[in-house]
Amino acid sequence: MKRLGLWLLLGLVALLTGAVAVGLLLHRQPPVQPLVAIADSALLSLPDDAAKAQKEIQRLRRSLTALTPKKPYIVIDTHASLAYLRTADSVWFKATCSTGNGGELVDSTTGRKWIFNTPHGCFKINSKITHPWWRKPDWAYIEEAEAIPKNESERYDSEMMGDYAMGFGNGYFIHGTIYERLLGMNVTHGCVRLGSSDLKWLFDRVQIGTPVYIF
Amino acid sequence: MRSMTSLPRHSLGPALLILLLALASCSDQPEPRTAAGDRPGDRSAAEYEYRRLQAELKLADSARTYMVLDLDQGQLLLKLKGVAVWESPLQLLDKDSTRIYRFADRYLGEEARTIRFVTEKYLYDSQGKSPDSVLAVVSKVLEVEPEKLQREIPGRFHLKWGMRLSLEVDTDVEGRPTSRLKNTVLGVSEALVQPFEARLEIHMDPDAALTFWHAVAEGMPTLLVPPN
Repeated sequence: MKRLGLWLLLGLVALLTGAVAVGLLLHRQPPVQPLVAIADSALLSLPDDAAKAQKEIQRLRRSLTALTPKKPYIVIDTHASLAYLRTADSVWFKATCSTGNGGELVDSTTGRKWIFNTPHGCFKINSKITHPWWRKPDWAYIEEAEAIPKNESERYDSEMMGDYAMGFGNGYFIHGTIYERLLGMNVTHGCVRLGSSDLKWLFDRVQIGTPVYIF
Repeated sequence: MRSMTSLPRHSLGPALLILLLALASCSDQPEPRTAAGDRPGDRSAAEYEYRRLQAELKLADSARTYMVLDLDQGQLLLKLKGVAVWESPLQLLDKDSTRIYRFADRYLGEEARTIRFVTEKYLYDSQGKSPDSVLAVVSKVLEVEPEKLQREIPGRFHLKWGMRLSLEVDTDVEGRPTSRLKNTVLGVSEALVQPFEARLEIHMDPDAALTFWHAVAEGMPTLLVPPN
């Protein structure tokens, strides 16, 4: 009886050890590379003098606070397909949007390549346009397997971008869409699409220079 | 004897100063707590804040999103260029506050680390946001893989920062397991290591978790604001 108990105990220990070993094996991953090169050892120590130390802390607090815009800023959450107009402590507006699908397109004849991502980072609204026309770029024709028009005037489309567009640089816009049913999905070629009423609301409140944070 | 009115002008300044100092000393107001106070605890807290602020300013200088685990205000934040772009309250499943202090102590370590990097993320289960049939149609029209059209809502996941620091997030969403075998094996190994971990278990709103899970990447820098 005693021997059986011992074997059972040993068996249990072996089972647990095996589970941990398998768990560790499944868990094993290559070492993670920090996405930003920064080390604690590079940080300065606080000055010994209490008054100086206080001053230094306040200076850094002010520097950090100054980074947050005083006026409302736009946030585009590409992960949840949401657009916000907000301040540091309150959200004024939240709407479902669509952002880049991450797809890749290669022009088989020229080898040109496009990746349809919405860029991440900090931008500024640099143009506000009512009744925008879309100048179809080459990829729009290649994607549809159509010939690229020789005549520039054939590239323009008055419907595709909705009633308003707000540019934030490098050809990217926050604009409307004729495909409102696809809002909430990552279906665009990099621009940010909003529904018509949300677009108007935002357009009326955004100024040239309004920061746009995309993550 | 000269009256007060005949006091020379140059003596009024010092007299006012003395009066102000006397009033200040009579006041019942507690002395404002300075971050760089003389007490040893204040000094180390100030030292940590100073280094954390420097670290955050460096992170804000980069183009990457970073995480702030604010255990003082009970908030999780994602920031870009020093600006909050997403936040969610830290709704602890276990109300035992010692877990927070244990987590903070482990995070800081002996060298009072300000930055750690996410070393691991694992999704136990998740749920699709749109019905598969809709995704299939849209994906066919757009010629894009269905999984690229949407991000899945996580049910349960964990993040780790090394040093046996772990954050378990539960959303109450019942989703499809990522891998039944891996979940079972991990469940056993997690249960075994749990006593040695500094672990925070939180509940998160599914919409917030959708962003948090997908935005956090391995290697993402994380700052900790310790509890007061």
